[in-house]
Amino acid sequence: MRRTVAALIAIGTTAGLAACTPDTTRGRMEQDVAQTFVNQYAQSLQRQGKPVTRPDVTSTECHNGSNLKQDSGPGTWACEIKYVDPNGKKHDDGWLVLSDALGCYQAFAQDDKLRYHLILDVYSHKKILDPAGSFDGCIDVYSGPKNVSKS
Amino acid sequence: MSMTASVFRVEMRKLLSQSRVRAVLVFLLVAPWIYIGLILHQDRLPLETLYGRYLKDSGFATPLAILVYASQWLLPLIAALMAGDVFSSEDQQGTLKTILTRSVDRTAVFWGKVAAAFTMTIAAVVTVAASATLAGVITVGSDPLVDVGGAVRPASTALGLVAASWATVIPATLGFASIAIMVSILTRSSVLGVIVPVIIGLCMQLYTFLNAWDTVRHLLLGFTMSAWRGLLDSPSYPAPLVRGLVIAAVYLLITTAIGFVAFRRRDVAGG
Repeated sequence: MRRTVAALIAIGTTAGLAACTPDTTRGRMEQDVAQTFVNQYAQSLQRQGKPVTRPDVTSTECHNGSNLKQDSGPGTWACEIKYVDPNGKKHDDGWLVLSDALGCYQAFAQDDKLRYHLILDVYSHKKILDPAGSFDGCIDVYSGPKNVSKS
Repeated sequence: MSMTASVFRVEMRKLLSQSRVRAVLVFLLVAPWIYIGLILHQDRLPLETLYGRYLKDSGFATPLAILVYASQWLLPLIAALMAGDVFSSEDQQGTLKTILTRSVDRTAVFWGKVAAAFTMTIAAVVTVAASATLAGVITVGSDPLVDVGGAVRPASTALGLVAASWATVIPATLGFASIAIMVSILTRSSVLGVIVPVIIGLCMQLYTFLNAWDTVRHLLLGFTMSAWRGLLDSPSYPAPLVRGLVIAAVYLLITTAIGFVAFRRRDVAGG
């Protein structure tokens, strides 16, 4: 009887743990990458001494390259950000996002010209990597959209 | 209380006179300067590390990049080196019997030793945090810091956030110190007292890098040590930090309680 109860508790605990929402979900990734990109774009303009305006992101789609079925978890993500810049020009950029198990990531534009673009920072007078071409980010693993592609 | 304070003062003197402890403190003081010196003398930046891209832009990125590394393996090691033989060294030198026949009771000896080990662990964390911040600000400058949400933080805010970030890893580091103390009491071995917490830290780190159950990862001290990242996001989020503090408190309570009971029940009649 005791063994049966212990086995049931073990099975229940295992099933409970396995059924929990993963930390890095597609929804959280899409939300955070888009929001951080908008902030970094504005920061890029600010650092170049240009009027600060934010791009209008029309859609963001991210997929996990190493967990294709569930579209969740750490690893390499491919994101597509569609946005309209302050001049009204439409953009459709691909991003490579390297996500760690702790919920933080490094995002790089797939276009090397954008990724390695240097700008002159008017504050420090140094040449820095354009924040609109690569940036770091972190997701809150306890809130935000929990959706994955498949469950 | 005065007995505990007496034991604490004696233990602090003993710890500070150990060459191992002094060597650790000197290493923690010097290492950040070497790190940022090497970064500034190379063209490439460690872009794969959080805040690595800002190491040449803002001096406040230095303590944060070092915190990323430190929370992975350095802090458990510091805790183990400071606390791993506070009790077992008495066993090895056969001095426990002498101490316990003096005019201090076991409870005072236990809490005095624990307080000294925790104080030195905190002192070590503060040393590396202060040294890294100074190294960054002096060699790179106090330019504003860009957080992981893309917001620019002015120097005064950035300094506060750096201090708060390092402060958040102290409870989890003390969790490792309490594990070291517990192992030190249970095994009466200084070697195990130092090695076991480091191995536990490495196992936690290994699990963190596996794409395994996230719920289990949230219960590990290693995950708790990364909760500071939420403070530096825009908007910031406190949930990982609050939950992390609870997790660290549970580790502290359980391991300290086990150590206390084992020490109270110990038979030292044989020396």
